[in-house]
Amino acid sequence: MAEVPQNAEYMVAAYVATAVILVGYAWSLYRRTTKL
Amino acid sequence: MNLVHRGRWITLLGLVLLALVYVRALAFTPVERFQGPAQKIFYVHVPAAWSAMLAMGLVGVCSILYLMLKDARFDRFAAASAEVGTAFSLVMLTTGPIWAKPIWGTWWTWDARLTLTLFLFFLFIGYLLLRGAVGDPGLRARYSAVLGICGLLLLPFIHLSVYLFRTLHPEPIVLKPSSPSLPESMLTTLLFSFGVFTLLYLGFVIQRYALSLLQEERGGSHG
Repeated sequence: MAEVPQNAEYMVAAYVATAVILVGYAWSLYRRTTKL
Repeated sequence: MNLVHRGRWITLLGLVLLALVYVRALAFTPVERFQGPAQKIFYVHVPAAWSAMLAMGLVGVCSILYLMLKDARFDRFAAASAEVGTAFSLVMLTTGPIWAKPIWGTWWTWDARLTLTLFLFFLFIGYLLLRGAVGDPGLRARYSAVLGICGLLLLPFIHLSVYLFRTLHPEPIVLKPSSPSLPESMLTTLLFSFGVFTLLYLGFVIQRYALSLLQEERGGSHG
């Protein structure tokens, strides 16, 4: 049986990128609504 | 509780639940035998694509309603949904190539599905640029409504592109006429993630809508 590919670093990179974009956007909305 | 605070709480809840999606995907969902851990990118990529398409769908529907009823609330909601959709498209376009590299051996290929989703991202950007460029609120709402309707028309082509064209992109496994082709534990994680991304969309869009309202109350233009 073929071995399971070892590519967890791609999964980690994608999860980090997702969190950075979504938390960053949430932060941007928070800043903009607080300023007004 | 006002609209801004409601949006903030929903967003905060969504971000906490996103952390739980990560925990569930990493610790309680099996590793796919042929793709390895990279397959788990699917639990953020697919719901991000769903949220981006939901956002553009609602931009289109609100644009039609705006042109029919001339109610500024629809224009304001379309603008909010477009900005939120841009964020989700960015997640989709970032996580997709990260998955493609180990699975396809390339970050990007110009096949129908990928090219159309990139086009969707450019439509979001174009929509936001257009709103920033037109000063008159009535003209801005009308021009952007036309672009919003073009975005709505693009959605069926994106969804059906894997059937209509020869493409590397996998076919839908949940949003298809037959039952989902996924083991139960993977399907549960995916559906949980769909719920969390939809909640995040809601939290973001409420805040963005409230921001436009606040800007208008202070005499500015909501853009």
